[in-house]
Amino acid sequence: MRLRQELSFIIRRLIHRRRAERELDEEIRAHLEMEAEQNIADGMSTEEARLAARRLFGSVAIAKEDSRAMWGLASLEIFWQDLRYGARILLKRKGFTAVAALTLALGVGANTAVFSVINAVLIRPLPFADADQLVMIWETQPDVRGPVGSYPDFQDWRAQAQSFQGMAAFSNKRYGKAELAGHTETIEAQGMLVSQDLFPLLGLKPMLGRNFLPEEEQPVNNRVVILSQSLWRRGFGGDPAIIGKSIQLNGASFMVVGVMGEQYPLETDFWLPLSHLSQIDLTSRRHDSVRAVGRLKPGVTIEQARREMETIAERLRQLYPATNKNTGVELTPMRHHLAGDLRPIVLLVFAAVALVLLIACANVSNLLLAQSAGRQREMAIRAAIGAGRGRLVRQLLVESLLLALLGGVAGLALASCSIPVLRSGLLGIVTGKIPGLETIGVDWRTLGFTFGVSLLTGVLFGALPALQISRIDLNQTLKEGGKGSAGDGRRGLSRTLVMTEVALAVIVLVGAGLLVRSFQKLLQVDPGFRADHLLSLKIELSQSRYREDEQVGNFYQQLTSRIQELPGAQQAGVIDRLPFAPSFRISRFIAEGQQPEPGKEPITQMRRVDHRFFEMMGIPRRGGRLFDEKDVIDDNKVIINETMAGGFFPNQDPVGKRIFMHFGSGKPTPVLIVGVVADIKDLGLDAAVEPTIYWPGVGGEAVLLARTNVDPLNLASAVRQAALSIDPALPLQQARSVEEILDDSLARRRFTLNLLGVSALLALLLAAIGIYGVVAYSVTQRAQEIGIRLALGAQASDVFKLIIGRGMAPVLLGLALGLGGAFALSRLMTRMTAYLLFEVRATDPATFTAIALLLLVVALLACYLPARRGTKVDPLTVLKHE
Amino acid sequence: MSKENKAEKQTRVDLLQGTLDMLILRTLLFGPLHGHNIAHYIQQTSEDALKVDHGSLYPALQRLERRGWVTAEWGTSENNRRARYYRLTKAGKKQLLEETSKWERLNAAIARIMKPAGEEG
Repeated sequence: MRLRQELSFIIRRLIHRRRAERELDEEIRAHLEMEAEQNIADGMSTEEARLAARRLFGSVAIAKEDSRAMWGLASLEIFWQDLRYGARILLKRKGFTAVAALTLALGVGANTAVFSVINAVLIRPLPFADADQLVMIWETQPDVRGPVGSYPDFQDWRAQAQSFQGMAAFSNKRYGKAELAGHTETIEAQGMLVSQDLFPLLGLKPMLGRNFLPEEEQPVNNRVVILSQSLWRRGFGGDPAIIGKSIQLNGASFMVVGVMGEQYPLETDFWLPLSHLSQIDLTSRRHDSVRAVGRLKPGVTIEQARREMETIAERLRQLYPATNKNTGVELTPMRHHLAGDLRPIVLLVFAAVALVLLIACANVSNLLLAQSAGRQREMAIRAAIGAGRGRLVRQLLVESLLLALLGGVAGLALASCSIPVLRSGLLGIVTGKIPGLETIGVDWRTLGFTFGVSLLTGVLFGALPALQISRIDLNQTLKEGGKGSAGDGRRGLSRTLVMTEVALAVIVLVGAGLLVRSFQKLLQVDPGFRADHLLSLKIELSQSRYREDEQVGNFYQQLTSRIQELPGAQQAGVIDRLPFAPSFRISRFIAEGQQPEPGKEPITQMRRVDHRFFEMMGIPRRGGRLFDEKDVIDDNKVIINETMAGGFFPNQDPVGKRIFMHFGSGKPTPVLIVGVVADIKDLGLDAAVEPTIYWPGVGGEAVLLARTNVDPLNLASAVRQAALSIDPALPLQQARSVEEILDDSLARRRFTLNLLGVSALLALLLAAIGIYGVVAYSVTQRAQEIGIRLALGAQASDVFKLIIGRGMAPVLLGLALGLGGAFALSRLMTRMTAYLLFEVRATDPATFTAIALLLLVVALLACYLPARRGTKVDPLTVLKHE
Repeated sequence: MSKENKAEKQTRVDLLQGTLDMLILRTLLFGPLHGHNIAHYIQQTSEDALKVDHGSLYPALQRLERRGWVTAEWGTSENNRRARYYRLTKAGKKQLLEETSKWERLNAAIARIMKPAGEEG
């Protein structure tokens, strides 16, 4: 009631502001005139009467201002005053303002840039309707990583789960690469099999034609295809009448039923109904063939859905113990799935730049404190004419906010410059497509973030100094003539700030240091083969023209022979997959003489190589024999690596022993071990070597490797020519050197390292500036003390030691705190950087020591410069000044 | 400025402000008045014991109006001048009663404390 009354009063005054002002003026004038008239009636002269009335009234201006204050607008006016006053102060102290704003700009800029990535990868809506409801659903198996699921299990999930509005599946199998007869030429395309409900579930509609029909998920009438917009343009010239036409896919004809716009986030050229899975994939619960995506019902949390899916998985375990005994289920939000490995990297870097921003705040706080000495008199005068402490604090805070906004604008400019670099770096390390990555930039969310962070930093760095500065002893200050001896409180605060920023910097530095150490160790890893002078060329033979194994074999035979004849080339060999690239084929196996629990059989990597491979790669033989020309593709003779030999045939010669494969689908197939070779790090330098089985003979998809005497890239075009001279229609990509591929496999680490390294350097730089500033300032402040000491006979070296000692005390405390903090955070660090650390523990003593030394050296340097100036103080000058 | 200083000043201001508000309300009990009237009534009835800056009356009047304890309208003064007349509202009367009783209780309490001290001395 009372509130409403007051509000309506304020609003009335606000709307009729002019009238209210006029009326107030008139009212006061009338008052003064009435008083004067009365005075005249009492016998005063006109002039006397007027002056007496004035005297009795007091200050008209104050009466008006206080009256206006009752209108509720006063706070706004005071704010405006503070703002103008603050701006004047900042303009007057240009040097201070520039340094402080630049410091903040570094912090805010780094945060803005990283936020723009977080925004694109983790915040901005996905191109699907209500994407937050979308979850990926996997099956889990012991020892198997990665998203998997069998089609029959998926069908049970879809039929039974109540938590979802719908569930759909897709698969990259079988049409991962296809040849497609376009209007003019044969082109290569990436296909995907999808359940008929995938697009409706994602909220996607074809721009032309229609979605798949439910009956098309059955193996009859399923020769239908939906093209992507880009394939439609590329292969069919954007033919508007494409719907209903027939196209050739791997030699078979399919009818185009739709064209999908570009909003689909994964790189796919065409989609076929899921019924194109192989028969065994469609029916076996053992074969992982599909990935499932579900849309949660409104109000259902992912936890609830997970619990329900777990009960369904349990039911399937009971029903199908032979296949599902160890099968679990896992749910991941679609967004996390799409952001993939980028999420932890981005969050880690964000944490680092947030610390950098805090350090920047501490620095600016210190600058403000140093400024305060010069402002004591100003504050005292303002307090003397009646400004309360609250008013002073508010004034100082407004100044800080102005400064913070200035820093924010500069930071935004810095961020805009660095975002393109970040973007291209990210695009370089991302395999596949993460929606929104191309469009990282400054949008309204980023702007809002920058604004919010700027305000927050303003309060953060402004609050402490404001409270400190406004705590003034009027008498003391005015008596001292405003010389401003820095109070003990202020000095203590300033030391605390230095300590804090050193501690924060140490944490960031340790984080970056651990990554550097990991990277160093990684570069020392021996891949197990000679990676230098090695050229690679991906070969994909047309499935329609190379139907027989013999044709494939002949092709490679011819190709390797021709390449070996090239000048500059030594040897050539073939393997089915490129080293250092993920997605190798794996299988469960049983080593002869062992009886693992069914469903928990160990897992092996499977490779196919030609008979020249091991020799050409420089992989030493450890036992038995290598393959020769007589080993053909269907021979069940294999070579194993040392890890498998040591792990599954301990203390015995594996040569001549057998391994059982494919035991799931019927009868296990025994294969005979004919040789053992040394391990190679082909899963990546940072990945543990896994048991591996090599089969003789490669299929249509393979990688040609050539050992050269010269820079391998010099032979790139000759090798391509050799391949084309055998098959002119061969689709070929660029040949690449294996060293280059190795380098790329480290790109993600290098990128993260660079980002964290930049953050760490910023942290160190800011901390050094902070230390320098405080020591330099204290030298200026204590010039008198130093002068007296020198006059009393102290040596320059004593003074030097004194200054260094005082400067380093908070640094040492901060260092200890920071190391302790980094140690305490090591578990968190380990989790956040798990796959970024390599053979380095988060508590690595070498890293901690190195960082401590680095910081000490930098801090000493930052103290040294002002300390030297301190020793040059001339006692006479200083004391005379007094 | 020390904490005590500030606290002291704060109470003094509050007391003055509250007292002035009460006096204005009390003055208006007998009918609408304009600012100049009010100033003189307070001065005369207190026999000049209370020295009120006339200027401080106006913020107080705005405050009372804001709280809804008085309303204001323009009228003509005894010597034919346009003046803003303030009138006590119902809420204002209630407030005056409250303030008066509070003031009386406070007065009685202070009197009780001060009296024995005075006798002893």
